[in-house]
Amino acid sequence: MIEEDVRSHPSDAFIEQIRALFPTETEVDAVLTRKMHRRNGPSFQAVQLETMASGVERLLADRLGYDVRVEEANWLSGGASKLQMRFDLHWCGEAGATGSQVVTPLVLRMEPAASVTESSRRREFEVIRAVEGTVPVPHAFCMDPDASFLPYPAMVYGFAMGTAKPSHDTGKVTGLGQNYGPALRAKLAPLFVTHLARIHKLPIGEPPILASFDRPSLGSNASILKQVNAARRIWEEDRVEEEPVMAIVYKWLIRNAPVIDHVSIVHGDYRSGNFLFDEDLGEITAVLDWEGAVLGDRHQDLTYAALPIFQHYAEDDRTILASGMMPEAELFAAYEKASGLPVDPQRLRYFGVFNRYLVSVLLLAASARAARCAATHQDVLLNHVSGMGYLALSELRDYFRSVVA
Amino acid sequence: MNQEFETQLQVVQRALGEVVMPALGAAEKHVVEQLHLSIAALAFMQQRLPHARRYYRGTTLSYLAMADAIIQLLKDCQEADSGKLGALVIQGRALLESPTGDIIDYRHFTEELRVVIAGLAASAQGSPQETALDSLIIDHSGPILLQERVWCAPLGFELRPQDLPQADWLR
Repeated sequence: MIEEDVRSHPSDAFIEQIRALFPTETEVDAVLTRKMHRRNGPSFQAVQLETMASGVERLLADRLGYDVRVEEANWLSGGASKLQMRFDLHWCGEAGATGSQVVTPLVLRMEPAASVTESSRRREFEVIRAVEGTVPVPHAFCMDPDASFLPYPAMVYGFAMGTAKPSHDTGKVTGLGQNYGPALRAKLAPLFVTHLARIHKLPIGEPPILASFDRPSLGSNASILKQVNAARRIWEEDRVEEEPVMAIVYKWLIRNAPVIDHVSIVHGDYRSGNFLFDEDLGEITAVLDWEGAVLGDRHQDLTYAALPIFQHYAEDDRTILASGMMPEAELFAAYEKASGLPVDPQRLRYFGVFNRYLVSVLLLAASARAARCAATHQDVLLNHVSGMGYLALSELRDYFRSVVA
Repeated sequence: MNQEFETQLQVVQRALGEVVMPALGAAEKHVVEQLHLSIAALAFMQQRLPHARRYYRGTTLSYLAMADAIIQLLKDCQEADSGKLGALVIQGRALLESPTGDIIDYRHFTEELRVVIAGLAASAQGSPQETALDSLIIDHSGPILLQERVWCAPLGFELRPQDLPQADWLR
């Protein structure tokens, strides 16, 4: 069997071999293993709104203990990885008073057969619950992590007001290179930093809080190694072509993994395009897309937000703005001030390499594979963004070369 | 009929962009976005199809140059086995000389070559030649990846496409 066939139709032996080679967190292992088994099943079939609505009615009735009604169901656009349906829930409200009729706008977020970021609804639900009250997030309502009521694993959360793109620049795919403009930027940038600092300062608590996350130990790099292995595992499972640069960088990431000096909730995808804002007030109304969250090192989020693929040039055509907010050095300095946590240049370099490696994996492997396997509702979008993979890999190669020089 | 793939792609793009797109009107955003992306994919193919053979042949040449350099580096290292790479290089030279060599042949060959090179990099871990081998691969990969970026530039992800080098396949 040639290399391509192994990945398109993975045998149990192939799946187990990769699992053994790249040990990672328990829940991440379960999600990635499920993805590989699913690949031998049917392609993704378009799901009708009616199917989603009836599924969520049954889910909510089960969780609440009484029948509810779903109305005004509509698809939500935006994002490259999950199916989202907005709907009005007719129920008895949080207090559950019999006879009362409350209408609450909610969002159902369901994964397709495969995704650019294969992730756990259980973890996403837990982390949103953990940060609620610390930063603006939609309230996590309930979940169907094993797809007992819906075609695929899903969660339900509150409908957050706001927009992801400014009205003058709505054409960007998933917020890549999003330009907020000088006036809006001046209001959003400090909040972008403050919210990140708050997330990282939040104590992680004890289980059952964040129960699906392996807990890192201070002074150990074991949790970082698990993350590197998770990325490498996705590369081995999904890639459509081998890249020698990836083999070299993986060795370096394993050898140079730093120890954890402070355990933070790491958002994992903190950048322009992944929050909603009120354009008139210039306020962030919701931080979204928590599916890549881990417990780990704050430098991971900092360097991710500063990745070149999320940058653009300012109006002077010289200044590069990280995540469309501010120059990288200003971002790190403002974060250090807001959080009181030190920003370590050595860790910045490590996670700068790690995030470039991860993005290369997600674009050249996961996105390309999902589109090739007809596994999502957005194959054409994933196919499109996979074309950014060589830009990411070229950038990884250049950055890596500068770090090891 | 119009035999040119370019014309076939051109008429479909016009139909989708000038007839179907306006008719969508108040359709859901993700529907319109998927149509935009479909048209972009067709435009990419229209631009790149005429150059595809030269592009993939050029990539094969670049990886063969990398393989040659690796063989040269490893020839004095007794513990390094570059025999498979050497055999592939001979196969690659024959492919380049073959008048029937086609896109799919170049692509499959280059893929195989990259698997072997990546395998050598992985297995060199801890060996005396590891640092030199890794540096060589990283150095040779730079211009190759830049050409991959040039190939994908019509997709619109480059911050400054004007800063990219000239396309090898146009020289």
